[in-house]
Amino acid sequence: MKVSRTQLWWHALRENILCRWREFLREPSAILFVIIMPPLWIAILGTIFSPSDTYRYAVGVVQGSNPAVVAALQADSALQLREGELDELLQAAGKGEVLTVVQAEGKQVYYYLDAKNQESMGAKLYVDNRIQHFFQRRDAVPTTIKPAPPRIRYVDFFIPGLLAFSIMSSSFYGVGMTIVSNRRENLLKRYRVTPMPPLVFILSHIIGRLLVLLVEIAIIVLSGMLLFDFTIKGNPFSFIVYAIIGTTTFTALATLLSSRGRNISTCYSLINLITLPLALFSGVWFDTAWLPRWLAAICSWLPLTPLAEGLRGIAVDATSLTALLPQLLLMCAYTVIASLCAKLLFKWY
Amino acid sequence: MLAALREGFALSKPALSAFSISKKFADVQAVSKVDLSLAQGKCFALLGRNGAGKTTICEMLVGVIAPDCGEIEILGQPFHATVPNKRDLLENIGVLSQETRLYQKFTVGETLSLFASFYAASLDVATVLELMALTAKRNKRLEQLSGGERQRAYLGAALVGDPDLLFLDEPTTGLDPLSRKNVWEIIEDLKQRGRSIFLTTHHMEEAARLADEIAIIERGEIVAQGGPRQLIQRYCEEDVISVQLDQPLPASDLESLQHSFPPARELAAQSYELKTSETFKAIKYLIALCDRLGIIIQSMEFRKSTLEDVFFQLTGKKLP
Repeated sequence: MKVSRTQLWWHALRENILCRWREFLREPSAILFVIIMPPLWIAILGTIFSPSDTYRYAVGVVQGSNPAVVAALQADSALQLREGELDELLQAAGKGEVLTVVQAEGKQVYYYLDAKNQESMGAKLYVDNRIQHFFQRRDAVPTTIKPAPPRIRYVDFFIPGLLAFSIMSSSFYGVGMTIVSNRRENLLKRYRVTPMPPLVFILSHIIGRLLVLLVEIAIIVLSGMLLFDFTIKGNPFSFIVYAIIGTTTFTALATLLSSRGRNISTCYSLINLITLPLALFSGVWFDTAWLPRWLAAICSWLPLTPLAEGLRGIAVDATSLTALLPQLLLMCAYTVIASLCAKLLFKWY
Repeated sequence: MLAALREGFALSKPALSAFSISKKFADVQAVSKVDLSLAQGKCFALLGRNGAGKTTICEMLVGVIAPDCGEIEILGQPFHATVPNKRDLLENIGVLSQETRLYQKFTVGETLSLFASFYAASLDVATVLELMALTAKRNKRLEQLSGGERQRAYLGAALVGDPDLLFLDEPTTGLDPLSRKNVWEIIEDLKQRGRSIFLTTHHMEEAARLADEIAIIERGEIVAQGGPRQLIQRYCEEDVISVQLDQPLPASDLESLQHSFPPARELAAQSYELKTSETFKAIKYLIALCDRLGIIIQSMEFRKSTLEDVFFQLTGKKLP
């Protein structure tokens, strides 16, 4: 059977994409990373960090305190009291079991607490307000609490970040490791003595990654929806487009990473070396607000940061793609630079 | 384009030729000034020990390694890594390389389809499976095949593009005798279909059976080249006679034996080997000599010279 150049090109591309897809399906670790791990992460972290419906301050009360004060605190359903000796309660505070320890000697009240801990300070303010009211203090102005939108749940914060993380690691492992092992087994060399255009091979990796991406999005978003009522508040189409651009960026970075090596374990270590700091400092698992400002400024330029920020922006704040232009440009810059470097450095054998 | 290439390529032109190609790795001269030429429809075998430079030559010929100097022509056209018509030439080349591992988790059928998709005029996968006697294994993964079956699958991937010129780098290394025979039969079949085959091997019998032209390579240099019979005639006498005596020949008589039949040598204390094309004369000489000295001939054996004798003659070493 004889075919034209163009037909041949498409035929070779189709076979190569099939090849990538089979590599994915027949690699147990790929299935583990993409299909089994993400729902597990969502289930575990979502459950641990879900706010309980009734939040109560755990407060220690030293034995022998003014019984009237103790009775007043006991009547408050927002408090969970624990009575005991001072030493024992201080130990409990050190372990985080109580937020603050109260000792009321007649009208003199003492608070023991770690003043650097925000939660402890909050508990102290609450308890103190309660006790001051008990002793007849009156508010200077009337105050009323009105409902505001609920604060973002950890799962809502975490799911887009997990998708970003998943895109990064599956690109590095899926593309990077495959290319290095193909090179080690002289398969890339073997391809070079066939008339297959090299572009077909590279394209098949990009398209193969996008197919895997669809699986990743489906798994992560669906398990988020089913387990924790996760929803994408913005345009789902923008969410997918943004994820596609991010995947292209990380496929380019993975190709650059694997442009020379022949050693699987070196490649594996290199990937870990890169993904671990990216995962920590790009706001995937935790908000980067806790970082020192100078470090946060550096981290905002890491390639995973714009991907996580953008996906989270679309899913949580319904941000539009145009509003995410700076992030998109940063990712495109990474794609272009990584592709050019990979083209310069890439060795088939 | 390909048809034009095939038609325009006169039968007299060699399928493959190399002119004085050399390659140096660091300070090791892996290949030096190798000339070779493979006529169309013939089989050329590069015979040598491990590390003699066979794979390096093969990789230079297929354009994977650039020679430091020298020229290569494939199907009458210059060939190197950057020739503009490289893809057209590659359409006509099939390669079985020694150290390549194809995807072990792919089935035989999938592997052949993948490689078929690279060629404009590829063979039908079913045809190749039949040629390789792998039809029953079509849906088996490469990792599930025996060594011989896997090698046939690799060979299938090399010829699914229906190439005119095949490079087979040690096609039977590591195979058991039966699988080796299977591969030989496939190669003979390809020769009958007019394919030109460039073969590297360290297996004498393989070269003797398959090749029309043999080049013996030692330390990157071709030390002898010619047809199998030609090589034997040129470097060895036709027959080899070995005799076992009841006592050693006196030194002066051994000398005169060596003088009359030059490559004669003492194998052990009382056994001697001589090579000759005048077998009867040699026998008569031996009998007369022993009669005169009162030595009894315990046994006498004759065999035809083989490539092995040529190789030993040229390199002083035996092949594995």
